[in-house]
Parts: sequence; structure tokens; C-alpha cells
Amino acid sequence: MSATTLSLSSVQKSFAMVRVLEAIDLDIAKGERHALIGPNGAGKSTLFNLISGAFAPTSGSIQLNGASVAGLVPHKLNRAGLGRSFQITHVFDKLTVRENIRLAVMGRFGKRWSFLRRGAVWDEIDRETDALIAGANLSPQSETNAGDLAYSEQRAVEICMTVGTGAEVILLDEPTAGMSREETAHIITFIRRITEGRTLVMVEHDMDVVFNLADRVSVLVNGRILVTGTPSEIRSDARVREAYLGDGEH
Amino acid sequence: MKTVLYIGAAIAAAALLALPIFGDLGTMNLVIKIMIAAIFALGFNLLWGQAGLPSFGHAAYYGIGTFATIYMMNAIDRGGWFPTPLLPLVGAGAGFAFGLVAGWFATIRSGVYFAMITVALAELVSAIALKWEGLFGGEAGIRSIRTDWGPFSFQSTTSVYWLTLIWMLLVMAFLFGLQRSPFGLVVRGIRERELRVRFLGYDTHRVKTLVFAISAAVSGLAGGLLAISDESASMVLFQGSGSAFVVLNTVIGGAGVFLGPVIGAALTTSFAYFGANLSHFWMLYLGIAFVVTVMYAPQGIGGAIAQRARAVKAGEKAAFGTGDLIGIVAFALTFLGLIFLIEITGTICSEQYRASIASAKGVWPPVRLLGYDFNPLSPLPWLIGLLSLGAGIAIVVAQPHLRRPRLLDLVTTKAEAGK
Repeated sequence: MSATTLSLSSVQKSFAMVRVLEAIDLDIAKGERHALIGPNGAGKSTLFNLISGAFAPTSGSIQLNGASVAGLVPHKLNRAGLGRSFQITHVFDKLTVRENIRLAVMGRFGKRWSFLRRGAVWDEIDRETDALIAGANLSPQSETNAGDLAYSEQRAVEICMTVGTGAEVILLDEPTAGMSREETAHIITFIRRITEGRTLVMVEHDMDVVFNLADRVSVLVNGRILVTGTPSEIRSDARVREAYLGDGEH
Repeated sequence: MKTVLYIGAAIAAAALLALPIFGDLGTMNLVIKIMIAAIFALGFNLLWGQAGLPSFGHAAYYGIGTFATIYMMNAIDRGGWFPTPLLPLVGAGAGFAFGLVAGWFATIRSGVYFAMITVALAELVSAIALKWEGLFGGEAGIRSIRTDWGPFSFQSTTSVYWLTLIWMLLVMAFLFGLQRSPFGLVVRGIRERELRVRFLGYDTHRVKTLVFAISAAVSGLAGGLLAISDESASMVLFQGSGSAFVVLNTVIGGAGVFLGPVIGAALTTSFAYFGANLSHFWMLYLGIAFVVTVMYAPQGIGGAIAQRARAVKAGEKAAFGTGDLIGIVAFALTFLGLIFLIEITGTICSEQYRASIASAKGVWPPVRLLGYDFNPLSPLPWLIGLLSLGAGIAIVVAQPHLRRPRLLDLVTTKAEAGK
């Protein structure tokens, strides 16, 4: 296995008296596409929110390339190399597609406090923005307000933004939720292409998507990681079948 | 539609340039006040329209700008070197400095909580201004005079007019550029979804603090121009009505359109100027106008014009149709009815009128309205008022297109606009 990018050890999270996650140990390698699955209430979203910095773990450590990122505020976490997308689409409704994505790319080039568009860096920002838009097949809609796009297109904008910040580790929360079969197929191709050479961590319900996209899968049950393995290992694991896959379609 | 806009801008520019030649002193003073109110409202709207932060305490920064400028004017008068034409920058600097501190605290929260903090800070400043009579001059306020600078004399109203006009254009260019700059994009992103902007790597609290400070600086600059124009400042500036008026101007004019606040400032300032002479109850009419705007054109007059312009461009509506004419008639009738009822009721309930009844030994003197004398005891003026009001309302009820937009209409219009 190549170098570890994201490493969680004995991560535990409690809300008031309720222990939602206990002793999570997880190492995700550089360039790996890793999926978190599990039945409802298993703690997937909590784990995702811990990694993405929405809240801090009660105990344990989360390290990104050897440096602790547990409990960092969102903008610092992003600058450390972690980019997240949201389960409920979080695009800027009243900004155009181009503005949405430029906002992400601008920050990556350190242009967070620019009052003027001066210098060659802006050409680079524009090029990068256009490349992301083209990659998502959104070029014809680049001047459309993001709020007026179809749902799957908004997800694509959302993912473009996450990637556009230059994040090394991309976190996707249910990237295909609420999409039709066709849209799902389209977005999987898009995610595979755009996360090439990056590390991907995603929470996903759709098993087709998981087995199609992920290199490794972790199954969460009752706040613990039941098993981590390749899609085929997971598919044939008796415990997983019992705990999760056996209880019907998702 | 673009040509209409350019023609409109050309007419406005010509009128502003010609005013010092043809206009009388009163009109020139009115336009100076309009321009100051416009700058103030534009500064306020940077915070509201662009960043989505409703400040209800902006009078504080306006007043601070006025006082800072008055103090600098006195310093110049005593032999200071500061150039008079740059005085508004003193107001802007003071506004910026206070805005930076106040903004840092206020922008920790958003929405209602943000608004509450701005109100509290404004009240704090107002209370301090009341107590520190030595600094703020108490009820009487403090006075100063304009000093000439080099070859430029600033004694005439005309010179103040030109100075205010130039500063207004500079502020407009600055704010327009800011809106289109990369920083402006970050600010609009915060208005749409602050959390997402944070996850894109931006420290939104610092961005909001800076926007707040810039907004306060523009408000302070407007206050500085007021100091130059009035050559005085008093703690009345810090009272709540100042904060309320700038909100009123922006809502009536339209927060979503760049020049919307200017339209609002022009309308309410003119209304206050003329209305105050015509009626004791002008504030009530202004309040009614505000409520009607919020109900029927929540996007403001500027927004309504922009919306109509888009519809005309798309070929959906005529620039002016019979529907609009009916609307104007309905509005005029309603307003006429209201004027009758408000003026007569208001007059006969006043202390002055009671006194004149007593002196006329119980005879009710006539009430003068729109150039005619009406006997308040006869049913005639009341009938005119009620019938006119009723007719206006009846037209609105009978004409579906005049009814106020329902929530569903607003939603579908939005969806259709996206096609």
C-alpha cells in the first residue's frame, strides 16, 4: 500500500450522553477512492462531518499527511488540502456557473483579497475555471445562474467547486442522492475522471455506485467499522451480508 | 432597452450639470441633500444588497463621519493644512475605523442577530453622544465654517453642489467597481451561502468585517459631505430615524439594483422637502408608501423597473399598457381618498383647531384642502374621501394583475426566469 494520506486513530464522538462513534481506526492511502457505507444511524454522516471539520471528535486523532486536522475551522481545513461537498446541494444559486467555480479556483491561487484583476494569475484562474466547466459538460450553461440548473448539474458544479479549491482529499457526501439512473451514470464517470490522482472519501447509499467507483469500502455498523476491504471482499463478507446487505435494497 | 437606459442617464447628467445655471438656491440645496442621502444609501446597500447583512444602526457611522469632519473643518479654520475638497475622506476614515471595530463584533452573527447587534451599537453611540456634551455639543451641536483652499472658494452653495456631485460620482464608480471585483464575488458568495464560502477556504468573518467597514466608510463620507453642506453637526444625527430612513430609501428604491437606493433617496428626500410644507402628516404618507412598496413591489421601484425591462425585452409585456394606466388611476383614487380622510381627521383632532372652535364660540371653522374650504361637519368631504378610497380599492380587487404578488407567483416567476 502506498503512503497514507488520511489517518484516523481511536476516533470517538459523543453527543451529550449518546456515543455515536467509538474507536474508529482508518487509514486511507494517497490516490485511493474510499467509500463509507452502512445502515441508517450507523454513524456515516457523523464520521464524514468529523473528517470534514463540521465538528471536532470527542477523543482520538485525525491526521492529514501527518499533521493533525481534528477540529480545525473550515477555511483552515480547506487550505490544509481537504475539500468537501454537501449532501444537500450547496451551490450559490444567484451566481452564474462560472462565478461559482471561479470563487473556488480564486481561493486556490491565493486571490482571496483581490480588488483588481491584475496579472497573469487571472488568466490561469480563467483557464482552470473553463477547464472545470468543460469537464462537467457545463460550457453551454456557464453564464446561467446555478440555482436554475437541473439537480444533477448542480451536483456537478458542487463537485467542480470542491475540486477547484485544489484539495488533495475530496470528500463527497452522497454524490448521487436523488438522481435518476442516467444522471447517476453520468456523474460517476465525471467523478472518476475528476478525482484522478486525488484521494476520494465518500458516503454513498447506492451500492452500484460504491462497487463501481471505490477501490476500498468501509462498512460502519453501530458506530464501529465492521470491516474494510475491496468491493469484492465486502460483497462476499458474511458479516456484511448479515448486518447490512441482507436487510433489503437501499 | 439599453438605449432607454443611456437616454435616461444622459438626461440625468444634463440636469445635474445644468442645475447650478438654471436652478434656484432651494432646488440646489435639495439636490445636495438627495446626493448625500444617495451616497449614504449606496453605502448601506453594499452591506445589505451585496453581503446580505441588514444593518439597522447605520446612522452611527453617518453621524461619526459628520462629527469627525466638523472637527477637521475647525482644525483647518485654526490653520490646519488639510485640503477642504478632501474633507469627506475624514468622514470616511472615521466611519471605516469605527466600522472595523463594530463590524468585527456584529458580523460574528448573521441575520436577525446581526441586525440586533447593529441596533445595540447604534444606541450605544447615541447614548454616548447625549452624555459627552463637551465633545458632541449637546442639543445645540457644534458649528464650523468652510475654509477656501488654494484657488477654490467654498463659500457658495454652488461650490458645495459641485463638490458633492463629484464625490457622489467617485463613490458610485468605487462601489460599482467593488461589486464587479473578485472581492465582490466573495461577498456575494457569502450572501448566498456563507458556509460554502468557508469550505472554499475563505475566512468569511474577516471578509464580512471589511465589507462592514467599507460600508461604514461610505456612510461616514456621506456624513462628511453633510458637515460641509450644513457647517454643523448635532447628536440628532445619531437618533434611530437616521438609521430608519436609509433602510426606507433602500427598500423603496430596490436593494437588488445598483442605482435603486439612489432612486429611493431622491424620492423620500424630495417628499420630505415638499411634503413637509404641504402637510403635517407627511411622515404618515411616507410610511404608507413604504408599506405599499413592500406589499406590491418587494423588489423596490428600481427592481420593478428592471423586471419590466426584462419582460419588455422578452416580448412578454409592453413598456406601458392599459393595465398600467388602470393601476395609476387606482393608485391616484386610493391616495386622494386617504388624503381627504387623513387631513380632515388630523386637522379637527389637532389642539390648534380645538382652540379655534373655542374662539369661534363653538362654530367649527372650515378645513382648507387642495385649495377648497370644506365644512368638516357636512358629509361631503367624508363622502369624497370614502368613495374615492373605495373606488381605488375596488379597481385593485377587480383587476387580477393589480393584486399583490402571492408567494406562489413569486416562486413561479423565479422558475420561469430560469428557463
